[in-house]
Amino acid sequence: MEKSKNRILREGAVIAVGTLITRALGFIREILAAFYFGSGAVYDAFVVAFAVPNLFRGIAGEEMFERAFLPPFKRMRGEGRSETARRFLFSILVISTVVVLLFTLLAFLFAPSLVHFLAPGMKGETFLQALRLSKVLLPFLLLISLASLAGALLLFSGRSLLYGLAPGVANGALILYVFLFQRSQGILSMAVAELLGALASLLFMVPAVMKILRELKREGGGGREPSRAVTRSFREGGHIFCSSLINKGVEVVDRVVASLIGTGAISSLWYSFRITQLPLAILSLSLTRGIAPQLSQMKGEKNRKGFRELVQYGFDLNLFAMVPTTIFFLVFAPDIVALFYRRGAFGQRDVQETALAFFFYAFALLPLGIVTFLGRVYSALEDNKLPLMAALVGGGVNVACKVLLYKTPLRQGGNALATAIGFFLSASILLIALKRYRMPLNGRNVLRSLGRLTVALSLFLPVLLLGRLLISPKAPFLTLALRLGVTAFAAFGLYGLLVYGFLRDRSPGPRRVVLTGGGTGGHVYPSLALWTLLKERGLAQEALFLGIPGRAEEAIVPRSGVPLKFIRSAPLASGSPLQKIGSLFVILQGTLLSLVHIWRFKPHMVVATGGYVSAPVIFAAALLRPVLKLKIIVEEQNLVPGLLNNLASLVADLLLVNFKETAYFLWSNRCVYAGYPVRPEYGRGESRREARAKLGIPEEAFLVLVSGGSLGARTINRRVASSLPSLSGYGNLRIVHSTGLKEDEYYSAFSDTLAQIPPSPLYRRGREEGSLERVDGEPFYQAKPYLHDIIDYQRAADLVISRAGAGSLAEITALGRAAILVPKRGLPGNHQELNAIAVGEQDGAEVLFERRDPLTGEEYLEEGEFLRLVDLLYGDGERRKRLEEGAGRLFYRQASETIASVVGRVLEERSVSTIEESVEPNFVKFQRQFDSLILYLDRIFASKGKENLYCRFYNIQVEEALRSDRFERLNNGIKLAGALRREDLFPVLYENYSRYSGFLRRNTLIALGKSEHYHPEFLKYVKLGMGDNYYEVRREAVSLFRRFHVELSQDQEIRNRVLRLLGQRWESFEVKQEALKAAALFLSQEEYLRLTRPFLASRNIRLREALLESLDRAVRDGRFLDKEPLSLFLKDMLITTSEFKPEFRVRERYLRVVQHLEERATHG
Amino acid sequence: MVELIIRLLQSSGIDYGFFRLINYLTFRALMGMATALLFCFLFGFRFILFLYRKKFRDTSGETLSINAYSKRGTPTAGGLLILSATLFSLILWGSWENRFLHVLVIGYIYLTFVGFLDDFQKTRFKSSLSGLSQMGKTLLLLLFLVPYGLFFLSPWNPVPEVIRTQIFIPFYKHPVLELTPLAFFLFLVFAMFSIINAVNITDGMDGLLGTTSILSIGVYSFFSYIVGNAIAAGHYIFPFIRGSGEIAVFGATLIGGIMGFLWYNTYPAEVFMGDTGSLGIGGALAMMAFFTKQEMLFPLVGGVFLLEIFTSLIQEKVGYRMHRRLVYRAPFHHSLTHRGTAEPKVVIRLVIVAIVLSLLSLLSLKVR
Repeated sequence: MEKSKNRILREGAVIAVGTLITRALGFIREILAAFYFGSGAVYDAFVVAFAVPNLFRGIAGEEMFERAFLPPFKRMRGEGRSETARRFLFSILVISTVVVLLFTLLAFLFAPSLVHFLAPGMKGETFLQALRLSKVLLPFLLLISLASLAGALLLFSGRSLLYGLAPGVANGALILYVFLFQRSQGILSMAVAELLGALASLLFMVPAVMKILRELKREGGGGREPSRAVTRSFREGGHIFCSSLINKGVEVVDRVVASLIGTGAISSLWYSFRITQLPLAILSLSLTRGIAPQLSQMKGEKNRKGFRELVQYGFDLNLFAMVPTTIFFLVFAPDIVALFYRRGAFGQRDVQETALAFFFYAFALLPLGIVTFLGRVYSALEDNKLPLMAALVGGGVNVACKVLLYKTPLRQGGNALATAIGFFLSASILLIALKRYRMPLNGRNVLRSLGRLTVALSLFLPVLLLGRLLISPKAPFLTLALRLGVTAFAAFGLYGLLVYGFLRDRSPGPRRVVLTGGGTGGHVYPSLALWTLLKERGLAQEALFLGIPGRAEEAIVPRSGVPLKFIRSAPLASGSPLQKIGSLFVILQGTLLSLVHIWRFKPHMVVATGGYVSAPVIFAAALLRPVLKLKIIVEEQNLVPGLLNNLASLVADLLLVNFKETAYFLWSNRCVYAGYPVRPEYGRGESRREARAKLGIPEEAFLVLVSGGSLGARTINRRVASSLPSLSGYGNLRIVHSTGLKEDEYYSAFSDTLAQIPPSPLYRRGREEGSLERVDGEPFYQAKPYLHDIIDYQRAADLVISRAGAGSLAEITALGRAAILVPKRGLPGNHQELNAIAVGEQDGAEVLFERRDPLTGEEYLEEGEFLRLVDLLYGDGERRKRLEEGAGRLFYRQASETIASVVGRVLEERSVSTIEESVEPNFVKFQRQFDSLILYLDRIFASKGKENLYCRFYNIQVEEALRSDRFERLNNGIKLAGALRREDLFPVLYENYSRYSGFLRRNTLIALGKSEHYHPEFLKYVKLGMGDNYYEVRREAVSLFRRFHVELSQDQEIRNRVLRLLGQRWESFEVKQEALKAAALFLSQEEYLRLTRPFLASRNIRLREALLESLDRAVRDGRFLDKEPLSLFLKDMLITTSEFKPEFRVRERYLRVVQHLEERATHG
Repeated sequence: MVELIIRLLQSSGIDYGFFRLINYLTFRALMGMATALLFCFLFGFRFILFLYRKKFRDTSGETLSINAYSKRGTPTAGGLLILSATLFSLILWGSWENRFLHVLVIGYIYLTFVGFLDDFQKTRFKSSLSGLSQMGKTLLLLLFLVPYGLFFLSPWNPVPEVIRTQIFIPFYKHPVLELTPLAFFLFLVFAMFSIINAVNITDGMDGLLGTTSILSIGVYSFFSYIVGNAIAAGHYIFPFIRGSGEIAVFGATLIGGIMGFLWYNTYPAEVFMGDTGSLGIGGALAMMAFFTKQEMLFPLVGGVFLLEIFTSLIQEKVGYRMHRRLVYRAPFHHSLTHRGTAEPKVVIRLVIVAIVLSLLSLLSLKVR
């Protein structure tokens, strides 16, 4: 396929040149005819006589053969059935000849009537002349058919040069003959010349045809009579015939409507259309004809992929050829018209009129090109019915628009515009219908072509605009020609240079990749891991890393052997608006630098792992993508993607994610789950024993590795350091602590950690700095700023305490180690906390949440919690093992395979399967709709489920929330206090109740209602609530009463209040609902029935529902036992209803079927 | 288009008696309505299927999967059907030299498109909380309203200069207020913005917006017929606005389209109109109100819409500040459901209210 692109260009060029020559000769012919015969009766007779043969050629000539008869021929040959193809050809030849001869006979017999019909006004000598000439011209029909067949055969057999020149030969012969014999034969010479011309071109093609026939005989293959194919091809021919008829019909309507517009409309339309035809014939049609044979070949070879690519290529060619031409025509419409036509009788006004039509015809260039091209595509698919339909619809719309527009001030422009619209519609139909053949144009490829087009036009347009300023249509001919010519040459030249690169093929060579993504190790390591992976699988050979100075990449990248170049960037997420503007400037600088680096390096792909460092690189890559044909690959390690990666996802060719849930957050919605690319060392395994041997650690030791990432974690460092006395109580415990490299004015990791270690009799300073040994000399604790070979320690450890960044998580799960994760609190999107919860939920690790001191605002780890966890994991080997297994299960082992395969496919421009359903993760739902969290927690407590991560996480949050003075947070805090059953926090609620606003009071009472135990304070608040001025509070107060009615109904006052609420006229029905239910709990049956009698026929259906519910409950609980009065009471109930619950039967059944299917699937 | 064809035929000498029907406004209006209705009948089901297969499904509701009782998964963006029917019918029966028609159609298409963007985002991102942000929607609306306001004050506006910035109220013959151009411009933008949002909010139950908007548009079509007819306008003492009769054709066609849509949208709905439909209808209604200079009639005609937006605003802006509910539920139709009335009943009840209001407004034609 790659090579054939160049071949197509070449063949198209050849045909274009041939067409050009033919047109030029045709033009000369017109001049000659005008010179010799003028425009009197003599030439009139000729034109009339030639009308029918010309029409015949237009409808049943080359178009017919090239679209109906040759595609099956080529297909058969491509299938290897050359003998069948040969027979097919002969059948076509024979049948066509017979048909044409028949036609000729008919024309001969009806010649007089025919001439009369065509020229009703013609009489006498002229009429006879026309008759004579038409009879002379009769053989033309047969000759031209044979010539068309021969020409089409040549085209479809790769002889494009001969094909292109043949019509030129015809014209040349004609010119010669006329020149020689016009004096003796007069107008007859013209007719004979036409015949001779056709004959000449036929003879010109005969040698090649014979050669092709011999080839066919030699190739052999097939052999069955192709009668069905012949019939089918004639049917297709019929379709094409109808399409041509429709087009001719539209032309007629065109003329009719034009005549309605006014004088001059017809001519201006005619003149402008002649010019428009030039680029169509020379550029578009030639390219289309160049491609057509290939299409049929592919069809025969059943090469679907090749076919699709060709269709895409043809579309691209039309796009790239026609769009600039259209723009050129639009900008210079009057000038072009003036150049071609303004002389003699054709004055300035005529120029304007013609330019009007010409302007709008320009819009039809691209649609016409596409319609012609796709027409050939469908012909190759041997479905000409669809183009017929499209022509019908397009023609219909064309006519409709002509009618709509003819009265508008656009006049003939409207007519031309209608043509454009009609063809636009046809083109669209043909494009969309490609889907039926399962080879729609790939949307991304189209967008990419458009992008390249825009880039190419970026130089084209300024040149045109410059020309526009300097050219005037009123200028004299030479000046006009010169300036227009120079402008066109310059504009199209530049354009061509830019485009030529796109349309040719990329040369192979070593694959280069640009890596980016830095700032912290968490971004650099995956970058390098990906590079190693790509190198190993042969997908890339050279790499370049772009980063910023002074960050992790400066330290890490050089060690890996990848060259490192620097750009500039700054974070956008944080900082004041002023800082953000500054950052934007820096990013702009970085983008420019990246542009330079990328252009120099010419990579085939850019791999970005996130962080603000990669932002400029991705922008630059996106800009250069159309020109350099590179692929952008983005890798997101965290569960919640950062802002930058979200933006990048819109331009990326491939998105790799580490968590399936990430698909939910990405703006792009198309990503591949590929796990985390760990360094290859993590895949290969030494065992714990071997690692310990390497490090010199005894087997019986319980090794704890503490690491807060490359920069360190202050909370972890401090907690571990200050807990050392307690930890030293465990005999064989050994700790290796990587404190991190952070050294700034606020925090110096290493020294601060060491300073936190309290003195203790159980250990003393060791020999190395930062080490401690026990009294018996055994090493106990070792602190280091950074561990270069941390993987060995990870392997050797029994327990790892670490942050919950994606990198650390990946390493821990890859090795399958038991871990305590301490997510960093309050990061953008809480991403570490979410990562940790995601892992912890699946039993992959223990999680310890950071708390915040309300007074200082500092984060810390609670000592008791920490020690408890450590103790648990130290003692319970079973649990450790479970965690190790859980962690191991979470690691996506096929990460490398997946990544390699997916990257490979993207490089070959094949599609990849992306994550389909993005399920909203629980914690997102909770954050988005807080009440869903409350429901969830309630469910847990109701089913007595065990306390899980969410409980722990939100338990920390609730105390702070209650102290907040922001309404939202406080509200959430109250709701949480209830949902988490934190009865210990109730006093806080009591204290602040009086200050609370409506919603808060309501939620407080709801929270109290969830309590498991009764508290005496409830009495006070129930009373307060019932007297509240907000109805929801009253409602909840009664509800609270119901919950603890056993204790509360002792109080007379409360009972009275409830009854009073019930009796209130203007009370909200919600309150009354509760009151109804409440009253049934402490009144006797007789009292209750008496009191609630008015509610039997209550207008509000909810009250009736509540009443029934209370009665039902009372009966079931055995409180209302007297059957008679109760039944009588119920009989009086109004049970007509204003509400109902719908039953969607289709849905129900659907769900049932799905459920049964699933059950079957799991049970086999 | 039909008009054009008839003129064409007439100019080439072919003339039939019934061709003169085309001159009658009412004829064109009714035929427009019928065509739009027919269009919906013919293509409605296929269109719904198309939306369903293209995954344009409603994403409201809390559960993430379809359960037996929720509305989730019903195809939305049915406003496209109304748009297609209306446009198709207008191309056939509209008189395209009329400037009112141009502006109405442009505005209607633009607003439908904005609504479509919103629906598109909601369905693509699978959550009813995404979709155009409030700010985005406001900006896009203003992007249309500001030029429209400028157009209204400019000489291109076919409404006569003298009455352009006057305010009329129902039941009263003479203009009540004459505003400065700037004041009127602000008033116009504000009023249209409110109308469009009010209509948008009313689209919350099966068939609610469809039925009520038909009534409102019907009233305004009637008014525009009167206002556009020199004799009738003089007789009823309304300011005569030449050419505004075409608004009646537009209105009738739109009604036809909505009726056709309603065929499928009533309870239980097979398709929703989504923001695509409601923004478009709101815009059309607002434009019609201003073109016929019956802006202040809207509180009467569109009383239901006002009620809905009033309750919504009150609950959201005031209630939230006060940290308590002011009405049971907002918008208003949900309050009715909350009290225990089934959805179809609520719709019909509100329609009854709308009918009464419409009749009252028609009354204001005569009683002045």
